[in-house]
Amino acid sequence: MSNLTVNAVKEEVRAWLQENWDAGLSLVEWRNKLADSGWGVPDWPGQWYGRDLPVAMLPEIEEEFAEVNAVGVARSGIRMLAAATILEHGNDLHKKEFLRRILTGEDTWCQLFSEPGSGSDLAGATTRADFDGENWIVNGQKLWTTSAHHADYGLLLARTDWDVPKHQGLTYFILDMTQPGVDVHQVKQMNGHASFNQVFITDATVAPQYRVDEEGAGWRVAMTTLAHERRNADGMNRLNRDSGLPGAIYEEERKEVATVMEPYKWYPQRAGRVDLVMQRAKQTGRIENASVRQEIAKLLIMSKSAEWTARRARAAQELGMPQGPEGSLGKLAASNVAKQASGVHTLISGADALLTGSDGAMDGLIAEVLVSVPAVSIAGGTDEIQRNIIAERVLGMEKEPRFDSGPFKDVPRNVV
Amino acid sequence: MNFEFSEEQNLLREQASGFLKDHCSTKVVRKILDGDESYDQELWTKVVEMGWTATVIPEEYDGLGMSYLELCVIAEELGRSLAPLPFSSSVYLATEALLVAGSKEQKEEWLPKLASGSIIGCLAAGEGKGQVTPKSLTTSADASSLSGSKLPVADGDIADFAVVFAACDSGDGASTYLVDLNQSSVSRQKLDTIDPSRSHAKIDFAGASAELLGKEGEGWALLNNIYDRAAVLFAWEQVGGAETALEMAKDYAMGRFAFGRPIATYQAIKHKLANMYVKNTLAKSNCYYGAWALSTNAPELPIAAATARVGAIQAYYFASKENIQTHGGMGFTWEFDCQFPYRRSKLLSINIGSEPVWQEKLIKAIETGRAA
Amino acid sequence: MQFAFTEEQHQFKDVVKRFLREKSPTTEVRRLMETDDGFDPVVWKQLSDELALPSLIVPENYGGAGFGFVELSIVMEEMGHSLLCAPYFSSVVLAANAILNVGTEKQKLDLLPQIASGSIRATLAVTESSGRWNAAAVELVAETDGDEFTLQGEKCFVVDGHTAGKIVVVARLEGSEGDDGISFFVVDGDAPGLTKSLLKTVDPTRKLARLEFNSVQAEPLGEPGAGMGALTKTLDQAAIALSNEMIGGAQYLMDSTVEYSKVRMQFGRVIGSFQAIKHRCADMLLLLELAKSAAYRAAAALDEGDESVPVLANMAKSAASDAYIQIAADSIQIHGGIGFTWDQDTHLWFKRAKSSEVFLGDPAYHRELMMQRWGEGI
Repeated sequence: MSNLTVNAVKEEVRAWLQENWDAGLSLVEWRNKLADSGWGVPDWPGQWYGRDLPVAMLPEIEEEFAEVNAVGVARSGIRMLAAATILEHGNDLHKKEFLRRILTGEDTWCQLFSEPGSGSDLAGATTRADFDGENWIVNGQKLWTTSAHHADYGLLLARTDWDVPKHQGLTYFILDMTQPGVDVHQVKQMNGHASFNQVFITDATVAPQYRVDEEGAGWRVAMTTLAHERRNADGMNRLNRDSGLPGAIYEEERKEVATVMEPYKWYPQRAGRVDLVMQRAKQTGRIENASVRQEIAKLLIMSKSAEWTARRARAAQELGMPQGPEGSLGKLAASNVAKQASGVHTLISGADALLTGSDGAMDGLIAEVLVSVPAVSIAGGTDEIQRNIIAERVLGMEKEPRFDSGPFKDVPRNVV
Repeated sequence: MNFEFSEEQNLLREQASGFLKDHCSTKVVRKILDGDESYDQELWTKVVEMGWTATVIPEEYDGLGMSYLELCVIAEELGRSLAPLPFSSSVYLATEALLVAGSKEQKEEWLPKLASGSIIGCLAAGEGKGQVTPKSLTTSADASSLSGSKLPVADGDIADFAVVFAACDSGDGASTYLVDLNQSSVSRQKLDTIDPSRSHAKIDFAGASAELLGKEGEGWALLNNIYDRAAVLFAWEQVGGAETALEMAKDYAMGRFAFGRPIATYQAIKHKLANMYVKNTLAKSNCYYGAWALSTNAPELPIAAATARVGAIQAYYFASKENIQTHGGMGFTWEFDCQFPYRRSKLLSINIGSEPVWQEKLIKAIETGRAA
Repeated sequence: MQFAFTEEQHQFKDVVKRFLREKSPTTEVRRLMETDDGFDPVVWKQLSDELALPSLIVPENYGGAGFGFVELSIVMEEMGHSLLCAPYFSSVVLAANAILNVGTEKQKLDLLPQIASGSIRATLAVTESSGRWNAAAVELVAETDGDEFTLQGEKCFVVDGHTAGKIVVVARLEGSEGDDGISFFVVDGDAPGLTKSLLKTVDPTRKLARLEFNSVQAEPLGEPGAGMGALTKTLDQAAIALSNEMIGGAQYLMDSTVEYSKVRMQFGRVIGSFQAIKHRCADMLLLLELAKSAAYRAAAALDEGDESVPVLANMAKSAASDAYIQIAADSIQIHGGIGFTWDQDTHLWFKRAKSSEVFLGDPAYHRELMMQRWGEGI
């Protein structure tokens, strides 16, 4: 993209914003303008609320938005994964019905993939959808569903054919979460927070037109959703950015983001709070202990090296070089860092680290680290699965013999 | 040192294990964890009836006069069942303090009641931040009146009396006092901790009447001696808990399917369980050494206690965290029981001094041993 | 901050790699490690004349090529990978840097061109029988008589000390202790009063010598007594270079082990399909890549004049040592019984891992130093 085009686009959006941006509008009113103009998601197709511009142009356009403090479209939560999936696999009906309300933030979405019986083995889902001649009838349970308790729609992966191998018998649906057959329960974690939900689905219905892509194509569609989930990892930063500005529209946006971010508020503790280690070690005097110093040093080396490894991956990518193994290690590295950090926090603590209330170390924050870290080696793919992926995809090692390649109905599985 | 538990002691273990299986399922632990009660009173009454609180108290003070080996057996089983009881406070700490340092009168006054379970004792040493030392102590006593704050005190909210450590100008810098907690100049406040199945409190003393236990200026030595003795008993609890974590993980792995097979058939899980087993077994060997040293009053007690403590801390933490990992996402939920051993392992890894404290003790004990 | 090699650096790496793979196959490593000198003069000459590697970091005004530490690290990584037996680390990384850090202009003009051309091989003697790398452990005394200095004492674990033509010696002035009085001297390899003996060590691919100084006349390098800063700087630079050498060796072991696991069959399948092997390899890769990041980061920091270099050097050395030794142990484990045999090559790298672990200070030493230097962080 030439500088000329960049400047032309910047000028165009600047002019449009000058003409249209009005902090006095309601959030939905403003976002409808964004959808109509295509400036909310300029990289989307022109036919669907975008302007067919390259992704590389987005930061330039965002800069113009920031210049006048203009609010953007709703991006937080699962809704953007829904949008990406619908854009790629949905039909015109889906696009017409859902995309605009995704952008305006009027609808909230959730992802119904994992189940009590299938976490690592996502394709082993046993939630079933049976066609009764008129509608798909859905029965089963879904787990780890963030935001399900206030979602309007769910991206559902369900089994429609039990006689074929497991990946081939899944179909992707859009499920109306507000119907009576959908029952959402919060799942409390061992650290006391309740970030996820369990969704019980009993004879819920999906009209045939809300099937996404072909029957049996569910796994392929789900892969699209997951690919966007991984790609959007840096999206969290954007969500966290608080304009800090006064005014009703900013207030509305803040509220929206706060609702989405609520489940993640303990995530810094889950990552081990490496940033607090030195401070705590000095406070408790444990910094004087030679073996504790060694453990702190190991932690800092591991954590910094992990950070630099991520930067190596990014730098290579920016130079257009093929990605080396360094790009696949982040999750396992983060898990090791968190575990070492939790160990160090225990080593440097006196009994006050046991206290979870205001008498506790850092008002109970350290205790929260200790009970949150076990999640990091599980959520989003266990360490064991990560090691499989690294060994098989990066190092090219052979897969284990499979026991689940026959018709799904014959595959041994969990009874839930 | 070479011993096995005797036939009688193994019989006691079977009896204890059977009793706790019947009366202390994880449902009992969960009830305390989730509820407002500090401990399970019904279970406590039964444990007292079994005579466990009287185990090592001499017969002259209405105890059973048994050896510490019996108490180790009981500790291991209590640890295995994750019992939500003030047993360790009252028996390993308060009773031990009286047995070690109490005058004849003090023993006569307190031990029979501790044996019969009619009162519960606790030990109040820590004062919040960091590790307590004679220099850090701010609690002070003047003649027979004691002032200061102690936290966190295990079972401090329900205990009838406390063994309290206070600063003192002479000797090793600390003295020990017996303080009746049911007096008006004592106030207590329950604290939330990482293991809500075991209660903790902050205790404020405002000129509370107190009675010296042992000699003035010998409090620090006494505290270390009690901790050495208790460390062995806690280590047995920890090893019992670690074995529970391994059992939970094994049972789950054998019944949970992924990719068409039980996860226990994957080497990643199988080897994890094997590593847990190896660590548990090694830690237990150290516990045997500790039990021998405690029961024979051997001069090696400080070394044996620290060895048992460090090994038990590591084994319990490893087993309890790998148990969660084996369970996957469900292991991290409130609904599953994996959190009990994990929380307990964290509590017991810090309560009477964390790993580096005991490593230092171990090194010092070894050095002193060499010098001697 | 540079986090990726440039196109030119990649090309340079390929050239060095090709050269070393050809000149230093394991048959050569095995041949040379049995000799006392421990290197092949013909290869040394080719490496000097064809690739000009000894001139790499020497500035152009001293007859060098004037490249930076990133390029040096590339060379080190490939040398570690090929387990090259040559006095490169001693002459270039240790001696040339020490001279650059402490020498007078005249001394640099005199000594560096000779090192850069490969015509003399130099080394640096720091440690003594205590094996410790801190300044306080230096006991060798420089006695003065007017302007004349004579060295009295011994040095131990001196890399290529028995074959070097010039020896840069770290000594202390009479009556000084701790960090004070640290001085550098240059001594000829055949100076009267100098007795050299080859040490038998665990790693025959890197030769170490004991040097006894019996009233050896020596020329001060730079100002006597003011060498502490230069010593610290030289050792930090060396630790960074060594870290890069180590990750090269670790990479070799990692690759050869993964390859082995793809062909070795047990129970009717390649052993690489078992999770026990697979997960161990994944962990090895993670260790390696993290250590690599630390080593690269430190090298780039040297070139960029980053003030965190000392801390980064400690981090890199600690990470590389731990990674190399762990990967070497895992490598032997995965090779099974055969990994423990003489004919299989793994043990050659294992021994280099072992010797590198303590060379320039073991990981615990570096971690402790790192904590002292951490300050407000990096």
